[in-house]
Amino acid sequence: MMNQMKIGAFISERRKAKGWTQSQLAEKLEITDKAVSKWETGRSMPDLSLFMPLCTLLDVTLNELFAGECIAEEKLKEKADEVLMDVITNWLGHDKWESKESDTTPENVLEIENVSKLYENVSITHENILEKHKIENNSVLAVNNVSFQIPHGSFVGIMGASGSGKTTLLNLIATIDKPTNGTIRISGQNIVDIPDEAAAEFRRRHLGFVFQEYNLLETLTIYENIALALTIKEVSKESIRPTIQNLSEKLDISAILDKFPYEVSGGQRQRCACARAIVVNPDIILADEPTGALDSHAARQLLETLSMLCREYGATILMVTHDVMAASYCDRILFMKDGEIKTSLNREQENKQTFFADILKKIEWIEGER
Amino acid sequence: MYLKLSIRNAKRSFIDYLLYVVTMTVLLAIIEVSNCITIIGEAAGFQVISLPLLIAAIQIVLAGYIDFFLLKQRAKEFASYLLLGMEKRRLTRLFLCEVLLIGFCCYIAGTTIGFFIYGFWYFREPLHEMKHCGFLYGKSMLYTFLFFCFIETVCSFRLKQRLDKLQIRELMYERNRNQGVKNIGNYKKWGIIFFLCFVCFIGCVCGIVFLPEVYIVYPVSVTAIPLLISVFAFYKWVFGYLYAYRRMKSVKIYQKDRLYITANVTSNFKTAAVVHAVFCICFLFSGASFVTGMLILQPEFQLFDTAMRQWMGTAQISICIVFLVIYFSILSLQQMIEIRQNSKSNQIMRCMGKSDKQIVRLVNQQIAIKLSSPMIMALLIILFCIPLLNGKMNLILPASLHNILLKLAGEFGACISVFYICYFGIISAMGRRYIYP
Repeated sequence: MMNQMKIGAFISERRKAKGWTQSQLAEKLEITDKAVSKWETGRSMPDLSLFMPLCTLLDVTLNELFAGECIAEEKLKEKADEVLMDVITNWLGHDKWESKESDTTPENVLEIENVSKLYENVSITHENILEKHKIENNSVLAVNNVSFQIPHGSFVGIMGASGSGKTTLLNLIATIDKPTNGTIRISGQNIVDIPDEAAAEFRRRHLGFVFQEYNLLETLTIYENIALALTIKEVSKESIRPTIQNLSEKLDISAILDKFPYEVSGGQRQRCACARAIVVNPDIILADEPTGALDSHAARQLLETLSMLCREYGATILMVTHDVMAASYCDRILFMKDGEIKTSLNREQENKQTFFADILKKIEWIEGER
Repeated sequence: MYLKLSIRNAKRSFIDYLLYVVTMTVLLAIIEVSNCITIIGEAAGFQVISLPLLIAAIQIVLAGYIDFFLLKQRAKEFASYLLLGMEKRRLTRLFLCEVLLIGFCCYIAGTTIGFFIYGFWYFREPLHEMKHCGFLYGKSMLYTFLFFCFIETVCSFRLKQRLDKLQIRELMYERNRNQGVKNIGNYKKWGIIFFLCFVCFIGCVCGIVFLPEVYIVYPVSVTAIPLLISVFAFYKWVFGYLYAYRRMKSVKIYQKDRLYITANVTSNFKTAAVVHAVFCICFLFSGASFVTGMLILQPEFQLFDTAMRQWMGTAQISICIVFLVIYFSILSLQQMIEIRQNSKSNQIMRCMGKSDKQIVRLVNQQIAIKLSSPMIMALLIILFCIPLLNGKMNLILPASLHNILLKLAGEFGACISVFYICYFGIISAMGRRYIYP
């Protein structure tokens, strides 16, 4: 069978030999750099229409691309037959696989298994927290054996009272903190043991953030704040302006692009933060209480925006919130208490009001469970 | 209650006040030293009053800049006082009293330090007698006090004007406010002014070099005017251009760290232009004092007797060091405060995918730019003037002193490099605590 990992490594090797970045190759093929990243890590194969241009750009033959290596002339016939056989086998197998596709669940963007986070030598004066979390002297178990998955394109919420471990869990997923044990996989890659430099690269390529306090740079205009995310990701400079213009129209912030963050409302600032998060096309957007600083109208607008990003851009969003109204926009909610996921709630076909009522019932049930 | 609140908040913004305290103390100490030199110089028949006047002018610009910086830091707090019902007039009075009180403490500290520095360096010299010590201290303190009053009056007046203008809403956002202009093409006007003044300045230098001796006095007397205007216009032009370049969304800015650095440099571009011009002038005076001092100290240079030559040479070298210390210390302190304030930006950049190493590199780039940008215009001036003046001096001085100007310029360059590397290293090392989480 064709080895996707080998082909990916071969594409990566040839690209580097040409001295191009992933973004530069993506730009030449007029595709997103995330697609190139996925080929190179063996998570996907190029579309049929891209094989020939890719081969031309990388100066390889189609045989060499499928074989995942350069082929010496004397082995050309033998290798060509092998590749042809692989392709036919894969094609026939793929046919069967496609028929099964509708039965399987979509690919998981985030997989968390038995993740725990223990803080040692912590001095906590709040007795309530101490009582709930303390397991030894000066040690706090902030996240306790948490496991869950988030499929691609879903909008998942994490709810819980203050100090329940929501933000700690989000920080672990964001590679800002490291778990004591367990594994966290984002798009198939285990992020637990990656070194700091690789973690930064990972955040750049795969994660987007929306914070409660907006966290926009005050010295930059709204346009520049969004552009900064693209320049950090090394997207081609020519494509920045059209990308921002398209997205800002979708998020209704075109009129304020030249203003500084302090000159616009909280809701507009938060939509700008959303634009900054989605513009780099991340695998998952992590939102930490994004509606926390907004009034109810602006909060609704923002939540509509996040839902739209899921629907139209296929974004996967993980939102931490303690606001029931905000949670009612999610497809699924995980309820955390004392560092553990106590239960979850799926939206199924329910409307927002019914889901809202279900969430309230669930919260009552969790609070009653003492 | 307001007083308690105010003291508590002032304590919290201690680091910001440090910039004010250090700048005021250092500059007042320098004014004190230069007043001592002026008094002694007057007794010896020299006229050196221009030195404290020049430092006072520099201090007005820097103190004004720091006053506005402090206002920015505490604007939100002031807005809260106004919301609580405090009258604007009372708030203004409170803040001005606070600044004046700190300024007065700086005056006491500055004059004491300045007098001790002067005493340590000069009282062993034959020009001085210890019995005059009290008289000298009293007189120089009085002179320095007059300068201090003048500086504080000008700065307080400007600060009051600014505070009167700001409404509660504006105070709320004053800290994050970025400077801007309606017409971004204004920088072209400054470009033309710079070009014309620089041509005039070079013309004056050429006049000094090539005109017959009887006419030299004319270009010598006016050279400073085009020089100062061209320095000011140059920085207005450069910062205006950078601001316009950024606002025009030129494609070239959206690569590497250019956007972030340009935004940082131009967020307060109007003030930055003035402050850069002042630092550039400091740098030029430092260079001029170094060259003059070293020339006077040359044994072949027989204009004065040995004791006088020693005294004047050392005084000039001291002035050079003083200006270099002003330049590097205040710029460094300003950098430290900026790095501390940017710690949140670093966190945001980290989330967006910048590694700690990349952030350190970015901060180092910013330090390097900020420490060197006031030198750019000075280097341009030196580049044009030194070869011309060196040629002229070769004609006047004996053969043993030929090309002395080039040699001294090289020595000054080496001296600057040492200062630059030391200060860069210190800020970079101290700034790391605000970079790593």
